[in-house]
Amino acid sequence: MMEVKMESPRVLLADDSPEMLETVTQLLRDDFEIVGYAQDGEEAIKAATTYNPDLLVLDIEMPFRNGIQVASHLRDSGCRVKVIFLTVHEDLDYIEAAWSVGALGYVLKSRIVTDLLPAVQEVLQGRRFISSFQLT
Amino acid sequence: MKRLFIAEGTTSRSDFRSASRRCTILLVLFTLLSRVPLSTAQATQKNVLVLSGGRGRVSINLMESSLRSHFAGPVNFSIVDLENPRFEQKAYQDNLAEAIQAGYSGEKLDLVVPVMTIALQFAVQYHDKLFPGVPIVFMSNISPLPVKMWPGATGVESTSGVRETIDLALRLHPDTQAVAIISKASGPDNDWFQEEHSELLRHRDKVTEIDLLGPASPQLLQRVAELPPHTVILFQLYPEDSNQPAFGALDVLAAVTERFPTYSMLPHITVGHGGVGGASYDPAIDPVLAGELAARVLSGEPVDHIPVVHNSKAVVSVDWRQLRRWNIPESALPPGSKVLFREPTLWEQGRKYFLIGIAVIVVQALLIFALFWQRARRRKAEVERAKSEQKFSKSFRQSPLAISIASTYKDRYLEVNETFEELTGWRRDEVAGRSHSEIKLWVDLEHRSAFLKQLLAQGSLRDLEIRIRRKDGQIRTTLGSAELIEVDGEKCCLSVWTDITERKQAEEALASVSHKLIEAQEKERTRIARELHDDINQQIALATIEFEGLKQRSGLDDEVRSCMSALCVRLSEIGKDVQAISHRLHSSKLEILGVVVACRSFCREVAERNKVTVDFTEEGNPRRVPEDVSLCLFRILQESLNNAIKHSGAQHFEVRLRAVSDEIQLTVRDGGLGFDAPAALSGHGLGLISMRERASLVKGTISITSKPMAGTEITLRVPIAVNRETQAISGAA
Repeated sequence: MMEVKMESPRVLLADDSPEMLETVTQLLRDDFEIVGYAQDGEEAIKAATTYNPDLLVLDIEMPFRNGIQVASHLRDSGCRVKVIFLTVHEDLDYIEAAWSVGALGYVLKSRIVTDLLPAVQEVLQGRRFISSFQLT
Repeated sequence: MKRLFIAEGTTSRSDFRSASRRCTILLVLFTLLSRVPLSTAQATQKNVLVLSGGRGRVSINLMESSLRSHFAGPVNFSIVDLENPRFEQKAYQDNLAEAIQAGYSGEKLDLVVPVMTIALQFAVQYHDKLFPGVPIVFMSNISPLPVKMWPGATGVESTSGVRETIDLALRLHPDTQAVAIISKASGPDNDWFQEEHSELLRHRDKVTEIDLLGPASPQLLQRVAELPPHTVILFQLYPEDSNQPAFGALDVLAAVTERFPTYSMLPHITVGHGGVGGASYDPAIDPVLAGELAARVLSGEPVDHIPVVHNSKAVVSVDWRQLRRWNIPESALPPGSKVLFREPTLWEQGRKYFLIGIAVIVVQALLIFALFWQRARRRKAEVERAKSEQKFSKSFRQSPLAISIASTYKDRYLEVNETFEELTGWRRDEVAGRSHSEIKLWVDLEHRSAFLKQLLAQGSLRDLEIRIRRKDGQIRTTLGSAELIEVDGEKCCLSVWTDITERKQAEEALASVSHKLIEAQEKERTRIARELHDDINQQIALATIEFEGLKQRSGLDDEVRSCMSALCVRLSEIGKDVQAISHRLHSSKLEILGVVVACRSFCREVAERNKVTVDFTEEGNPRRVPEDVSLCLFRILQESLNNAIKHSGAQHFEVRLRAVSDEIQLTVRDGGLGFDAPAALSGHGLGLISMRERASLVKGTISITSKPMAGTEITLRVPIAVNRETQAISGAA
């Protein structure tokens, strides 16, 4: 399940949907090392702690702990992983929540094909990325 | 006034004989020597000579008063007393006339007033000699007057009392068969005798007349002794003077009255000396009338123009002792009779003492009556009280409510009723005198302390939910009320307990059902929302991604690419709609971002959707809120804000979320139309009921303050226990 590319940035994927994990993997695997997958919040924290990835692509809505809680926990526990939220919520409250827990990227799942790679590149360089969307 | 005493009339037998003899000469001489000439009086002064025939000074004084009251000028009175018993003697009269003539010669007299018949006869006889031309006004004359009145004379003619005396005698002695007249029948007495005789002729069919005529003598007594029974005596003898023999009128009177009821026209002589009584003219009227006539004469009215006045009123006098003696009831007397010598009755003798005694008896009787009345009233009150006590005792014993009375100071049960026994399982004799802790009645001891504290502070308590432990250990829930009362000077707690265990269970069951319904509804909404989000929305997202992927491939003509772009947009819109549905069913924000963000976001959405303003504020950092409480707060915010926007008519709304130490408060306020809050709370509005049910799920309370046209404020308060074992949702912070 894991492919190792030594010089590529190390990315951890966390989403409760296998299909979404597969899609993201296909989009990133050429350029990045996918160090692991997680399908709930607890797994994500555990994997992030274990693999210490450069980047965490994190779904917001997940069982046990949601993405906001995971990011908050990781930040509070000293983990310096960069976080891109992957979500369906086109909502400022979620974006504010994402920024407040230290995330740098906010990518809508519907725009994943066009936005995810640029987002990862921006975030890895320490800049923010947010998918363009219309507020509901 | 000067007075000329010729003789002094006497009434007693012994005085009569000695005193009259001395006075006759001495007083005439004294009078003649001592009198003052009338000529020395003023010219306008009127001189009146009174010839007193024995009527006494009282009558003369009355006449004088009457005269003076009717005549304003000065009047000088001279009185000459004529001695009655000797008056029949011609020599006496001549001597008297000479003495008067000597005394008054040359004096101007204006009026002569003869008093009584003998004086009148004297005045008429010696008129021309003694006082020629001087008018005469007589009084107390009982003898018949001449048909042609003497010139220069008028006066008062009085009834003789003969008819009235005879009528009295026959009235008081209806069985009288004979009337004996005892009279000298000479001189003036003859007139009376004749009148008596003629009067008795009227009664001749009933009574026989017996005449015992002549002076007092033993022979007269002898004849009296021969009188038949049923005889009544008419006594008409004057007491004699000193010249009479030793046996006199009074001796006869004494003997007569011994045997027969005796009457007389001279009641003043017989009454008191054995006579029953008699009638004579009213002595009070004669002097008044005579005084008036005298005044008229002195005023210059010709005496011959003044007719004689008649005093026909007779006065009956009787001796009470004689009435008793002859068994005559007083009721038989004619009205107005004077009863003399009446012995005071026992009542009259001791009236003062009797009255005091009666008063004492009456007072005692009243006191006794009052005592009896008071006693009866007390008894009645006692009976009433006993009845009342019985009634209340029965009410207490058999009340459907459990009742107990306990001393608050000693903490001991004093009394419990049957329902209390049923409720607790403890019998009255097991409870009495013991404390609640001994029988372990209260389950929650801290409630008991608070209960007592509040009772002592406020005096009463109402409808407190109290759990009690029965004797068999079973726990029951009761609704208790208590009142602080005083029994025998001791503060006691009167408690009333109602067993609400079944009701409570039913309520809890109902609440449980209600809670379960709400929970089920929430669960189902969450499930559907998750399905929509996790499944449908993910699928849509993936489909969109695939379209996007296809669109990126080369070899597609522009038209297809354009269609695919449109499809992508379309899919994205569908995803948003599904997301919105999911959000409405179950707010993922609440779960993910916390109650503050969810509430603020909801307020914003509602405001935008309804074109109103909603001010959301938070206080006290209410972020870590248990999940169930968050859901409750959010749902009640949804319900109340939607209701407010829908019904209040207001454009501006305030929502405040406030956290205090152990409580979180949500307030939704509007300045709209308002409504009748109590009615709404007790009514059937599902919105409010639902909110209350939701609040009760988390042990919260809802209060509504609303007045028509003054807006509405709904406040939800939810306690947050420190050690609450509920999963808390971590907010964004």
